[in-house]
Amino acid sequence: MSGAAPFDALVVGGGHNGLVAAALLARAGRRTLLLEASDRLGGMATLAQDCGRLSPTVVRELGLERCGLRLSARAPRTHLLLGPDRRVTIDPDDVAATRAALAALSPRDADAWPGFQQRMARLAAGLAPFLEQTPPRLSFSDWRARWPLLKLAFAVRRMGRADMRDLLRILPMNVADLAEEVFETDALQGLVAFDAVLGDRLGARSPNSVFTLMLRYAGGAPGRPGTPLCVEGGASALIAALETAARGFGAEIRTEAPVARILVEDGAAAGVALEDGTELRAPLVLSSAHPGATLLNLVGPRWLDGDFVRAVRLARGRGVTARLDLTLDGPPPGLVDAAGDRFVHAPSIAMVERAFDAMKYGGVPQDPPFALRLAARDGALTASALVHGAPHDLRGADWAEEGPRLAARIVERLETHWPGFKARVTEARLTDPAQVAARFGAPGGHWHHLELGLDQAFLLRPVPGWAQYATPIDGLFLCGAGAHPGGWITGQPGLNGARAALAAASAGRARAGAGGV
Amino acid sequence: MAEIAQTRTPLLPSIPALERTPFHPRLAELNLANAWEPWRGFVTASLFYDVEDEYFAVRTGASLYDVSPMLKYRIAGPEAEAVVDRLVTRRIDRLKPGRVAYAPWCDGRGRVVEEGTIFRLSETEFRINCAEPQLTWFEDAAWGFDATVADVSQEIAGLALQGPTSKQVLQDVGLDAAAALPFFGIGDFATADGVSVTVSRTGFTGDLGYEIWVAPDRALELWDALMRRSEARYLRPIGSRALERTRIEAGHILINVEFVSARRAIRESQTRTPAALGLDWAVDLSKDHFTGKRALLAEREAGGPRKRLVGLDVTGRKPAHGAYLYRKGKEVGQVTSACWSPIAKRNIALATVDASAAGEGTVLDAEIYYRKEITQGKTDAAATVVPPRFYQPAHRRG
Repeated sequence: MSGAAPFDALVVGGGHNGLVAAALLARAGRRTLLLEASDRLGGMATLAQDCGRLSPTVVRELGLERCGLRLSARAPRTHLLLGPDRRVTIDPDDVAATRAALAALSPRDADAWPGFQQRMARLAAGLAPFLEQTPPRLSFSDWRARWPLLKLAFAVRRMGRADMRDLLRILPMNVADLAEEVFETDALQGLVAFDAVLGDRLGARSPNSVFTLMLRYAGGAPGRPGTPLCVEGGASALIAALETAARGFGAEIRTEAPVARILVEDGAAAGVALEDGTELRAPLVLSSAHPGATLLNLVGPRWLDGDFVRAVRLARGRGVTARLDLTLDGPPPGLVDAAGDRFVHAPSIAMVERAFDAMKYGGVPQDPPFALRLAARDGALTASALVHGAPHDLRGADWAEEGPRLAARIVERLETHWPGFKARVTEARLTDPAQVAARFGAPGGHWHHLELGLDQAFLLRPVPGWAQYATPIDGLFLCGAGAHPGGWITGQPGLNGARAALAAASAGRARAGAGGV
Repeated sequence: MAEIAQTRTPLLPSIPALERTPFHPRLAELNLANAWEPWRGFVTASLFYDVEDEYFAVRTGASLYDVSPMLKYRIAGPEAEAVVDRLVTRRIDRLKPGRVAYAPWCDGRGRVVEEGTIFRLSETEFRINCAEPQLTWFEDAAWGFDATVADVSQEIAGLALQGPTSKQVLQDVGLDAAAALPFFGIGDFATADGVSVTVSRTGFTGDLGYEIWVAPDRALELWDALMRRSEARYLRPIGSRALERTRIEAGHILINVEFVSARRAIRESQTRTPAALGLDWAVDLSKDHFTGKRALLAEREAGGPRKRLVGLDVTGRKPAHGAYLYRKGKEVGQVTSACWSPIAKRNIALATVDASAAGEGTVLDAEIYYRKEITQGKTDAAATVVPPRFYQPAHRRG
């Protein structure tokens, strides 16, 4: 490698994880360049409704609050949509009101709700060491390699016997069985089931959907286990803060700079080639893009082992989530101060499961569950819905036709919950998984790049044996949602990926120094 | 009374359980010992009449061994060279059309999946011959490249013609040009009777020899033409028992004997890297990436494999089948293949031993078990580590 390379590290992809990685690398004194294909930063995070699981470590390490990030003390409310003008409101900040609201449905469930929240938060906290750290290598050849595993075992042990048993019992379960154990009303069972499956290719009765539910309780607001963090201004405010942080540390950021290839020389990353033919050289390349896109498209199979390529190809990641954006010409009737609140249409386990039934076979569900949020933007009121009902592998139809139909059905559904809503809608635009795939270069259009099942978590993410952010290409690291701990807006893959790259780079430098000719 | 249920159970299939190769009608006539064994779903001869006669045909005359059950894969397309180059441990860009290379291929851990001969039929077409099914492995290797993989095993019958007079046999049937092939050369020819064949100068016996590949429907014509020279050239059909002895003499490893495929091994300890099998010479760690390269570089950096395949020269005349090997009382390995070599007049064996005991000239203690009528006998013998090429006649390349 010539000493002329103007950069120490290149980061591919300007989503939140890419920005976190770039900021961290720059903070460590590496001359860092981030390359984003589109004309704006944020990646898939721009489609998210909140950043409730943002890692407090990321906020602290990058000093995001100094960069304009404002964390709100108020946790978002959830309104269950249960029929014409019938809503039940769950407010994490108002226990008594929540209790009263739920008691109207069932006094037993009103009793059970806070206990369930605490239970999930406690168990999720037990998972935290697994989610925050770089997964250890499954190497038993020397004691040093066993330490991280032992430390994890101790962490689990600290939970206590009862919680450990509970965790081991429910983690691989399906969420419907758990919800039926705890709650008796369809409305709460449906909400829990929906929260578990949203974002993943799961039904309420799919195995290990309790694991995906638990991930929603991990991280979150400091000092309030299980409660989502509320970032004022949402994902776009977070992206702005990350950009400020990265630039502040000295990272250079280029948008409209799509990477065509990762350059490999002698089995090691040497830089990237942009689509316009520009070659940029650096000994470290971090990719926050989809692992398949990174390894199979940008690197290519020629540089990789055949069995590794197969494992990457087989990693599951076909999206089922769509985002519907609605422009409204005024607030829907009877609505006061609901900006930031969440409105969930998932009235029962059965309807969540039925939606998945359709998607299993490549169909679009008639009545998919969704979560709606209202926001005021530039003086106009907008609403967005995350819809669990859009299989990427649509059969016998295409999204150009099915998208508008699905959007229309959801607007109709909102009208039944909220008479007068439809008349306010001036524009409806659905972003389906095919568009997500095309726009963000994530084959399959999955929100977490790769499905978040137990079979693709921790030691097994993105593929077994390669959970340490390193890739078979020396100097190439993964730092996106396809790496541990996966999707949602945590910033943790970006953080861990950058740390792994920095550790490897300094170890390599030390080695080169020691073995100097 | 109702029929007993068992009588209706098809205990035996109505068709032969093992398939027959295109040469089977001739083999069956000649198989006086009626000794057969299964080989990858085909019936194949263990022996025709006398293993000594068959063995000496390979070493002093010529022999025919039916290799039709071998698996043959065609890899073709504009990027076929890149596919094969990334698949195997040797440089394939240097393999010219009309040439053959022997090479192992590994998984990502650097463990040998299989080894075989690679025919470069043209710039864009290769054929790989091997013993175990590799279709999915090869298809995975070709993924992302402009090349196709096809199993052509059933389309090609094969005969191994091996032995010092094999060159004359080919000349006798009008295959003079094939007889003149260089060592590890390959080409298309036609016999005097007009049978189109592909001939490669390859084999498993370590002797002068060829493999002749023919369309199944012309197989018997080819057989008859060759066997007409049986008396003149001391040409004999041979079975697997004689072949086994010759391949040990040649020091060729055998899958499921010297190693287990990395894809099928139940225990990782039964898999081997190329270096552990003595195949370092067939690995080019300086070439572009191939599957397993990183693991093999790491192995080299760590000082090489912990176990190694070696040849053994054993005292006495009891073949050291499965013998335990000791050094200063400590067990250091086991024999995987052994026989008395009539041509070398030595008691020879292939063994896997700890790397520390693999140095040439190291003397190990072999604990040999053998059948003593109805009891088992045990004898101790000295086993000296030697290169595993026990018989390499100069005429094999001549």
